[in-house]
Amino acid sequence: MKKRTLVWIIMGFVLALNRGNLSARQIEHLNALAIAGSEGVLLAATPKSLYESRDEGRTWRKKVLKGNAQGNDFTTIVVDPSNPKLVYAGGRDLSVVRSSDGGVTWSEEAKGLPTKAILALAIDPTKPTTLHAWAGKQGMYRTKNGAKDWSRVDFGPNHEITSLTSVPIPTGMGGIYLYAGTVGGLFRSPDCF
Amino acid sequence: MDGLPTRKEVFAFAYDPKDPKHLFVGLRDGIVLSQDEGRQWALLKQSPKGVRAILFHPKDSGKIFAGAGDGKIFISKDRGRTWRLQNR
Repeated sequence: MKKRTLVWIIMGFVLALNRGNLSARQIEHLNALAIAGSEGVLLAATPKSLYESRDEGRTWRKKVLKGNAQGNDFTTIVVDPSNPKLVYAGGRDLSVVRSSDGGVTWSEEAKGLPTKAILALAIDPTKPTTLHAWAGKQGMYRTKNGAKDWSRVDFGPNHEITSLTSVPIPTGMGGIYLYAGTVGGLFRSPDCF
Repeated sequence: MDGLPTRKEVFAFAYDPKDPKHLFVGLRDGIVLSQDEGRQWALLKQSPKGVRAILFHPKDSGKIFAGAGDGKIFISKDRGRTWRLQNR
């Protein structure tokens, strides 16, 4: 084999390897984004686990999840605005999980939830131990103690929820509004009930 | 829950932490912004379409991330006026 041919073959291998690495550093699906930890790492909730990016979304790495997060199909993720290391996530097969180290170690926090399928989470920015979780047809659930236990609130809106957010707009009744983006539009509810 | 004027399918939602009355909604046609709690909406021209997540940077609210369902990540550094694709 001529030396020049050999060089071209080696270059081809190198290029192919680089292409493989680049595609491995991307995500194919995305359900939610959050920024966690003191370094401001971008986290992506995907159907194939959590991914992290340390360069504002240019490249991604699958996170190694420690603790007892039982599933992989992440639908939602929120961060405590007063403590960026405190992260909550939910998914179709893992209920609600909580991390106090920026998303490295996770514990399941499902007491009072009726199903493993949690499709949306919202954290109250004015009282971050209060969160809402939407469990699909099972309804809307709320915790007031940082996910230690949950209780049912109501059915939620009459449409599938795609995003759930507590917005610090006062209701005039002592609470703030819970906004739900759904397949049928945007809805809001005073969260004081 | 009471319905707001946006009756289209909502893919993503966020509020501006600097002014929570400013609401951002990801629709099939792009991101729309309301500056009055949702009474009136305007499409942010050049915004990415069909995004599944909108996220304000917690330490720099002028910086907004948007994530599409296929994994594309967009960033705006001027509160949503212009957007740049970060990956791919």
